[in-house]
Amino acid sequence: MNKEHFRKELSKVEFPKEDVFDVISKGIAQGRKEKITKQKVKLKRIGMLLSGAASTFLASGLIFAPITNVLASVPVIGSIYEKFSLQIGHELLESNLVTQLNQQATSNGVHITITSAYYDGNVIGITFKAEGKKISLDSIGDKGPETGYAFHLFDGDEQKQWSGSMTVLEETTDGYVGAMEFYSSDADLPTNFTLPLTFTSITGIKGVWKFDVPVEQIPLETIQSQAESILKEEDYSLKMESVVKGKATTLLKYKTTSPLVGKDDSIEITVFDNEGNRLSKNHADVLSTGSYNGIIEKDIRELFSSKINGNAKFLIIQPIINRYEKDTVKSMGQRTPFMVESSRFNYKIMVEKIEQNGEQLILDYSVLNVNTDTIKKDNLQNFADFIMVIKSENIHRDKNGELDMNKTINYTIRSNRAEVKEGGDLHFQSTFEIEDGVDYQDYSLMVPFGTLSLKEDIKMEPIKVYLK
Amino acid sequence: MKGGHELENINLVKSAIKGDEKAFETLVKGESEKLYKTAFLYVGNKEDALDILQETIYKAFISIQQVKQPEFFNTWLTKILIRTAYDLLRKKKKIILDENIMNNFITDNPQDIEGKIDLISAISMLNNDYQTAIILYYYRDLSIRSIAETMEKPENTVKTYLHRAKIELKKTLKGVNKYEQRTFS
Repeated sequence: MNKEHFRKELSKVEFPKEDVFDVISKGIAQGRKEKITKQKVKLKRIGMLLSGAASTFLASGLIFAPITNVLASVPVIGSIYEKFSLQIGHELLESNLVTQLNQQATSNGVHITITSAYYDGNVIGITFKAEGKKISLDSIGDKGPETGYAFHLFDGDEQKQWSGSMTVLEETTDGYVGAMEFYSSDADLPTNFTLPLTFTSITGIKGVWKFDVPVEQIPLETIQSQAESILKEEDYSLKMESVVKGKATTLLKYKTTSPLVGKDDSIEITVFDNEGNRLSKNHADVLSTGSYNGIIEKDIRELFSSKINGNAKFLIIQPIINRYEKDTVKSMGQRTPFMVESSRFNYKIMVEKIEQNGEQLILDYSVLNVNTDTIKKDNLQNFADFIMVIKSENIHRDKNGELDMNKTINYTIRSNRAEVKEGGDLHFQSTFEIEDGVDYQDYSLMVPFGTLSLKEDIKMEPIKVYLK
Repeated sequence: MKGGHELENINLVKSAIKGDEKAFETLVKGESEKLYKTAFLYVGNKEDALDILQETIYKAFISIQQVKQPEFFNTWLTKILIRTAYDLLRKKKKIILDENIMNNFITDNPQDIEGKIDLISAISMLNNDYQTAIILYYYRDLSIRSIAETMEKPENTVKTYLHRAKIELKKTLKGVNKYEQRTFS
């Protein structure tokens, strides 16, 4: 058998493109539904991922860490961190900074034991095992979350939950094991802390397993800084406040400003040390937001799940501005040709022709004012694919007159795919299926110019922060 | 050419990580044939392959922010797909064992053996680790090293999987041939 033979065999397998695209849309819709519910209820929990698959990939590069003496002496915990590639826990374990615990709670015939904990920077991690005759991963079915267990922090109030990552429950010879990592979003990080953690289900078995997990923060070193990067005339800036060196994590505190028009923009940073080692991004907490004289100011604390190399002399921080704009909405009740223009950027589309045959609506348009050096063909296709139509009466706006995407999105109609028309890459045709018997003039166009501006991000001047 | 395309993809991945749904959809659609066929290789039928794909897209969509290095998006997506395939196979395991897949192939369609137990079907009968090694090596064209990273197993283990998987495949395919010869002799 060789690769060619293999491919030849596989090419005989039919590729049902329509069915495949259909399940892709369904998968996304399913995920979107979950995301929207989460955003509504669990504001602070957006980063908490319930997908087991995802948490396995927390540390893409760190898979075969050598087994050290420490690991060998605590085989259970060591193998948990190794098995799930939890980078922070793994790193701390190697430095002997993970505390072994043995707290047990029993409910419904299931014993849960917290086996270890650590606290570095704003990250608290625990490992646990569950034992009991009734536990079985096969019985999860539709009953429990995919990870195999459910829990909450504090009293369960959704607003108080921290973001974090969790692993799936895995069966081992020593019971069922799992690990969790939480990121405190509090501005103050006490050196001693007790994490109230309650499990509420294990492989579909309901119960109450309550723990108060004591943790002590590994001593941190804080380096103050006032380095800043300013984008003149645009009101964008990033000003460093401090670098907090943990044993396996790094926290960067900084303030950003952006103009009011860019309130949906984000300033992302990439951090390297002087030797070229990149700190791996984890997530950022916005500790406070304020607005003064048309400028938006944010206090940000960003967590990196790597430590700063002991020999590093300085960090180089590269801020990049991603500018965004919500979809532009324009009624189709007008004579062609007409323009739909971004209110913030120069991008426009010119609608040249609209044709309606019953429920089929065909739209011919050109994209104008895009720089094809920065915005590539794929990006343009992507933009065109997501030009949508919506019955004008279904457009929801919030009290400030802004598009309420969460309420609107269920009514939007996508085209199957925008076709590139002759006469250049910038000329497209999209076909939509609208309600039969309704005039297209009762519909509006939704144009996602924000997807184009995201491709044209702005690099700010990099900043240096000296560590010594 | 390839480099340029990959670079554009990285831009799309970055946008997707930032929550750009459209970029995400474009990316997965671009990969959809590979993803579908990979899933197909695990299960050997369209319905299950589509189920795996939908579940994979769902999981990837809700956890895309976890991708730390955009250049590893495809590896990440493949890992989710593999895990999802394993889950589905685990749930179906009992049923498959009860039905005794080989007997069914032979008794239901005696005249269509060649079409049934071809290479693809034979792969869907391998154990999970062997399947993954074979699929990633022969179909996804990954190096042993990348396969090791994707499977989170040492390189030597992957080599062993590949070696044993090939032996098993040969056995399965040869078995069919023998049967074929007997019928026609």
